[in-house]
Formats: sequence, structure tokens, C-alpha cells
Amino acid sequence: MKGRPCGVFDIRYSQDMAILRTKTHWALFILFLVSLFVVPTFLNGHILSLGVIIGTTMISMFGVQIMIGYTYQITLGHAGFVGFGAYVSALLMHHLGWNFFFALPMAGLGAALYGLIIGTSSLRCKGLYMVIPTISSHFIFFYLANEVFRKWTYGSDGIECGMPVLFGFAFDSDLRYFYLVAVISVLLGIVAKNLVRTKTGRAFVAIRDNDIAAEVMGIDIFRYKLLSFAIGNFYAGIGGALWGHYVGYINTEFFPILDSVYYAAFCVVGGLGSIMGAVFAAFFWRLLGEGINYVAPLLDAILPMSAGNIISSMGLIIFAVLTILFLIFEPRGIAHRWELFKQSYRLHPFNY
Amino acid sequence: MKTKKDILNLEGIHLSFGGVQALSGMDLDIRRDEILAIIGPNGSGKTSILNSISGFYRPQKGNIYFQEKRINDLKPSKIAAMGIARTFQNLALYTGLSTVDNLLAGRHIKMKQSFLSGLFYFGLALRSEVEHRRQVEYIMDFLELQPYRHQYVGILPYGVRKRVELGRALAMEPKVLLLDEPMAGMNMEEKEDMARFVLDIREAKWESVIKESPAIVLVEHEMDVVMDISDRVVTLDWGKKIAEGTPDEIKEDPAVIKAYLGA
Repeated sequence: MKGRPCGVFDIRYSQDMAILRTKTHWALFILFLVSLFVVPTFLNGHILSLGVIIGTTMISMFGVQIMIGYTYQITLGHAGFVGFGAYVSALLMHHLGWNFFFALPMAGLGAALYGLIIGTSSLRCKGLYMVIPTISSHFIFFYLANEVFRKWTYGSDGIECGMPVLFGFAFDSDLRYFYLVAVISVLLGIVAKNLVRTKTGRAFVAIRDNDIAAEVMGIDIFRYKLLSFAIGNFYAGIGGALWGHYVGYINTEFFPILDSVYYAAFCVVGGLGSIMGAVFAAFFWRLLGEGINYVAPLLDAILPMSAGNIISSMGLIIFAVLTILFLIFEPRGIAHRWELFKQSYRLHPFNY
Repeated sequence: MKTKKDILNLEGIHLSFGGVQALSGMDLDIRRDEILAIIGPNGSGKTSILNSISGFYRPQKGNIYFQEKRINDLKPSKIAAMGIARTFQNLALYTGLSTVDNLLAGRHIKMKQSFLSGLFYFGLALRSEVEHRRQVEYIMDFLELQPYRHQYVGILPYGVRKRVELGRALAMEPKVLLLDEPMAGMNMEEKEDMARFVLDIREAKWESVIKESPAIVLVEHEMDVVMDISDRVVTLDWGKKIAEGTPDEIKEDPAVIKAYLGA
């Protein structure tokens, strides 16, 4: 049940469907936007770069959310699609001298097209079985980048990614790049939210919950599965391109298969079937990774017999254990907790 | 016999699964203005007829005409878009959506908005969402579903879910409504409600949602309901039609009595 702030009554359907319902909501939203642009000026480069990485992860995570959370096409090749997007825009800028702001949408569309080709397998597979074609897609990406297009991608030597420049304004500092990522991720987040609450999103959920009923109710399943693939990978491509141009240099080792697993696992931790879940997932993943990067060397120093093993294995273990704990204790993810919190906050002090 | 009054015609439908003849030589005419009940013992092919009509099964032989157009080879989604809606024996709702979203998902085929306009939630997309929401609210009003508007369907009681499913089918503005055991597993009160809804669908004034009332095909085991509300009854046994007529005729039909009592 949708909880609503006490004393707020809807007169029109559009009010009932709005996300920002009250003046307080609007005030909080504007405050959020303002602080998104004011606060970074006080932050140092390290935190800003973390912010950039969270933002790019978030964009890719929206894609995972649409594919797994909304259409239940489990993808374990997402890092491959992210890498595909990064390569497309890097190649376009490196070899054809395109402007970043033309290359970026092409990265999304390129990854979407690649996703469409992989997605044709969804005609025969569904749910868990989609893992096989998507894992293959990851290896196809390696093969394409390292072997087939070696002439242009320079194989495992990697390729340089150009710098985004808009009308002579270069996004060359952490702060400037942070703003770029912030604007794009907020926009794409809003678009994703709108997508899932209109016709297309309902069709996705219909296919997720009951594909047979969906088809008999007039939803063209194959078309919408492909659409879900294309949109999910569009997000992956955009996220990947933004990340690549921030790092400045990419090769295929930056997109390991393990990252694909992380995308899927943290999507569950964030909360399936919720755009907010993707936001939580990105924060949770990257902040946790940052914490481990900070703690692991300290532990290694304290425990001399570990000989550096802690640094290499602690991340894996903690990620795995947390994912398992979430599956046991809160399978609906952080997003569900967030909904519960909002509910009780609105009813406070009458928590019945 | 095909006549102008018919909306759906089945001609000589043969459907088999391996060695099992589910339907053999089935002829069936459904008129525009009737509630047609299909009854028969378990495994007699009632649900197979519905599945064949909605394109879920492919009969090996025979033709299915909807408004004199052959629909055998169309995809289920295309058949639905022509105006054939159905409910399922075992509920097939979208459990992760709220009641209102389930009904809106039923209006999928009626929504003209493209996926690009949906990305921006104002102007065209917003107007279309509000317009369809109004229609859906009308159906929810009719089926007394308002208290459950924003609740996830997965947590609703069984009787209410059945109603939501009927609502989702109605939201498609169907010309033919196929109901697969709408009263199964319900208590007396819920059954009476459901029977009233089915009758009201035929008789209610639907100006704002449905221009013409749909023909209703009812597959049901609940004999008192069937005999009370249907205009015509078709009885099946072993994939064949053994009787057809008004409820009173069917009650007296020796073949029907034999099929049911096994005498």
C-alpha cells in the first residue's frame, strides 16, 4: 500500500500518480539538486572521484535493474556491455575525432544494438537460463575487443579515451567531471523511473510476473524482451563510456566477468524491481569497496602472517557474505527497507 | 452454422497431444449477445477450447473465425488485440503490480503512447496515463475494487484476485470474454458476487468504457450458477460435443446425465 503524508488528499488522478506530491517533497528535491551542485565544491579530489564512480555505476545499474529487476532476464554479462559502450565511444573519439557528446549517445546505442543481438536468445530462454547467453556475450566482447578489431582497439594494450569538451569547455578536473556525471545520472534516473511507471514498464513487469498471461493479454513478449535488453544495455553503454573517459584509458581487463556478477548481486542487495534499488546498489557497492580498500591494508599491517592475502581476498569474502546475508534477511533489498522507513516516518508518531 | 449473429466460430477443431485427443471435430458458434456456458467432466476439453481460441494451443485441424476472419495462425498477442480477453483457471495475475497497475497493464493494447513518450512524464504520456486511469477507475468502481487500489495483488485474498483478473480482462474492452472457472474455489457469497458481475457485464451500461457488451464464454463446474445465468449451454465429453441447448434442455438431456453420472 502506498503510504501518503497525513492530511494530503488527491483530487485528480495526476496527483495520485505524481512522485513529488507535496510541497515538502518539492522542497527536498530542490534542496537535493542544489546540494548536488554546491557540496562538491568543498570536497577533495578523492571523494569526487568516488562520486564519479558511484554515478557511472549507478547509470549502469539502472540498466541491470530494468533487465533483472523489471523483466527478470538475469544478465551476467553486464560488465561486458559496459565495456562495449566504453570502447565504442573511445574508438569514435580516437579514430574519427568525434566530440564526446556525440560519441556518448553512440556508445549507448552501440551497446543497445549489441544487446539486441544477444537478446534474440531470449526468444527461447527466460529467467535464470538467460545467464548462459549473457555470459557468452561477455566473452564475445573480449574476443571482439582483443582479436577481431585488434587493428583499432590495439588489443590488450588498451586504448586511450579522449577528454569531453563542450564548446571549448573541457571537463578536465574531478569537479567538472563530477558535475557532468551528476547531471547525466539524475536525468537518466528520472527517465528510467518514468519508463517503468508507464506502458513499457508495466509490460516488462507483466512479462516478469507471468509471461503466459502477458501474451494472452496482448503484450508482444519477444518485442518487449528485446526492448528491455536494448534499454538495459543502453544504460550500460552510457555508464561505461562515462567511466572510460574519466579513467582516460581502457582495456578489456577493466571489465572482468566478476564485475558482471557484482552488478547482478548488488542489484539484489539494492532491491529488485525498484529504480531506487539501483541507486542504493551503486552506493552500497562502491562505498563498501572503498571501505575495504581502506581497511584491508591496515589489517595486513596488523597481521604480519597474512602476507598481503587479506588485501586480495577480503573484498571478495565480504561482498559474498553480505549478499548471502541480504538474501536471507532482506531478499527485497535496501529499497524495501527504505519504503518501510518512509511509511513509518509518515505515520509517526502513530505507528500502527 | 455460421450466421451474422455469430462473433466467433469454431469449425471442426482437432487438437491432440501425442496420442491424447483433446478435441475432435469440435464445432462451436458463439453469438454476439449471449452468455455461453461450456460444461463437462474433468478432461473433457473445456479449457482446451479456450486455449485454442486465445492462440495458446494450435489445433492440428479446423478453423477458428473471429468476426469472419481466420485467427488460427495469429500470435496470442495479436488475437488479444483483436478483442478476445480471458481469465485463467489458476490465477495468472501480475503479482508484483498493484491492482490499478494490473488493470492498466490490461489496457496495454489500448494505449497508443510510444515508449519514447513514456520517458518524459508530461504532455502526451501524462494525458494518456490519466485518461486510461479514468477508465480503469470505472472498472474498479464496477467490480468494487477501490479498497485494494494501491495494494500489491500478491497479498490480496483469493476471491479479490479473481475479481482483479476479471477487471484486467474487462480493461481490454473485449468483444469476447472467455472466463475459465471464475467461481472455482470461492465461497457462497463470493460466488454470488461473481455471478452478479458476470450478469452485469452483459447488462450494465458501459458507455464510458465499453461501447458494446462482450459475448461471454463461461467454463464452469458450478452447475447451479451455470443453469441460472447462461443463455445457452454446451456439454463436452472426451473432446466431443454431446449436447447443446438452453439450460432447461441440457438438464433433461440423457447424454449429459450419462456423462455426469456415468450411468
